[in-house]
Amino acid sequence: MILFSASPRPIMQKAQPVMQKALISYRFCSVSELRQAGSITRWVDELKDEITALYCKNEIKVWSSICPHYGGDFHVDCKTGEMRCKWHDWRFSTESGELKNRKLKLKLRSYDFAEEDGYLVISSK
Amino acid sequence: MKLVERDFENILNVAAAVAWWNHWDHEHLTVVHKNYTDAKLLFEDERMIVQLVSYRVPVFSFLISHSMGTVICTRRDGGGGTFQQFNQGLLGIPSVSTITVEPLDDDRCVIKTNYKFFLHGWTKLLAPVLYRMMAKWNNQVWQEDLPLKLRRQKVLRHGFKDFVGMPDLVEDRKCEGPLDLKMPLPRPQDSPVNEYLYGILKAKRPAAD
Repeated sequence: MILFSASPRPIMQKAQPVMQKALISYRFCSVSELRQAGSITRWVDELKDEITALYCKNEIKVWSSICPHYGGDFHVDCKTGEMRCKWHDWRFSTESGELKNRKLKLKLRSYDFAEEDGYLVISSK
Repeated sequence: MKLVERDFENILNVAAAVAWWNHWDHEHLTVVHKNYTDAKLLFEDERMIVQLVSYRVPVFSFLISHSMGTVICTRRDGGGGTFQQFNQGLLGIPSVSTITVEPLDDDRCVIKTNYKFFLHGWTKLLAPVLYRMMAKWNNQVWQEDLPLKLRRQKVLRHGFKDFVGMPDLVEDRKCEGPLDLKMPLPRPQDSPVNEYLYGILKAKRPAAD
């Protein structure tokens, strides 16, 4: 006598399409312009954010330059490696984006970027 | 006693909540305003603060006034309300500054400022100087605060959240409808304005962590 064990079978579900958020790309500035200036800050309507691109220690970093405290803007200083909020003197590292002078774990938003045809192209969802 | 009084009025394209935020944000005084050299809180709740402030006297900026002042606010339904700052500064001259915020719509408000100085004895001679000084002070403080209010309005209308930042997704970066503000404003416990606050009260207050 053969017993058929009613072992559970995986229920086959109809495959659901995965909705990907569209990536928004924006040509922010020329890389040569950034290297010369050291930092460039602009409001970007397409991304609805104010963005600062930095060229510090031969490296490019791209941060949101809206202070996560109350929304202030920054003095950017590549020599000290600090972005200093003009409203409340909160200081963030240009390297890591982390808050340095308050006992809070806050960080600036970073943006993905690529160099294309000599331009810095920033992208976000 | 002689009363010296002056009024100023401005219409601004910001929500009343933004004006409240600016006036109740004690941390920005010494960072944004050139004339303020020190600001420490001794007491704070949702309606009242007692503060120690030091500021350079307008026109005579080599003089620094050190004073203890009280600010009381009265907020009304609909976003409007009044701040009153009671102070006794340089030369012991009592003053009352009254700021009234009246919303016109979700993104516009009227800010009315009234300054009163109460002069006794020989200080009555200072009346004409104080009258001009009030305009210089008001204009300077207004110009220094203006970019803050406009930027704050802009980021809030793009969905900004205090101590968080902008929303992760671009499509979420918007905010419609009336803006609100809860007071007192949260601050990290190691904020410079708190230096004497916890020592005196040892009371819990909203913290940002």
